[in-house]
Amino acid sequence: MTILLFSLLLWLGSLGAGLLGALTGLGGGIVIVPLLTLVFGVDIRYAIGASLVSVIATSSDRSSARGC
Amino acid sequence: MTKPAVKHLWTDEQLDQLLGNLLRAGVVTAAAIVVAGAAVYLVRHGLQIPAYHVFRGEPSDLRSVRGILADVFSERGRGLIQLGLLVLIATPIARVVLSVAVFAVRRDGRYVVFTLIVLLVLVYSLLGGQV
Repeated sequence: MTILLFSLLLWLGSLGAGLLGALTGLGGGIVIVPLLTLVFGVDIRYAIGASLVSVIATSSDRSSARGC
Repeated sequence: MTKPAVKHLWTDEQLDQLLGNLLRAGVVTAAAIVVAGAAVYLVRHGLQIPAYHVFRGEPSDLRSVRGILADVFSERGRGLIQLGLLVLIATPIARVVLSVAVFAVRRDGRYVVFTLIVLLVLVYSLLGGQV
């Protein structure tokens, strides 16, 4: 699997994760971490970093949409 | 917030709208920078095989703001991605700074103090918590 294919699959997964995270109010991390570690076999430390970034993005966006 | 005399300076709705716009602008800017960096990176390295099952940490040039900017100016994809993440992290901090300013204009001393405490904790943790 090339980096291109990996990024594409991960992009689709993250889209779903963002949707689910925004709907449930949990942030994307709850989907992204298992997706990265269990499905793609990525090291857990990379997965934690990705999860933190997604938490910043979703929480910023949510509070802007709700008017803080 | 309870003083009607200065309420015409900034109403709560205006403040919410201002902070919301700031957050949205920050997230959109960060996303645009990351997408640009990802495009550069994928064009150059898209056909390699990823090795993300081994943790290597970030290279030293991506660990400091100066190194990241140097990478951006030499048009490296990872530098751009990292810059986008910096913008993303700076967005909520900018929001707190802006609320301090707005509360100061409204002469809302209590909220200035509260927000300054939040800002202090943010800056402290951003500096590595070593001070």
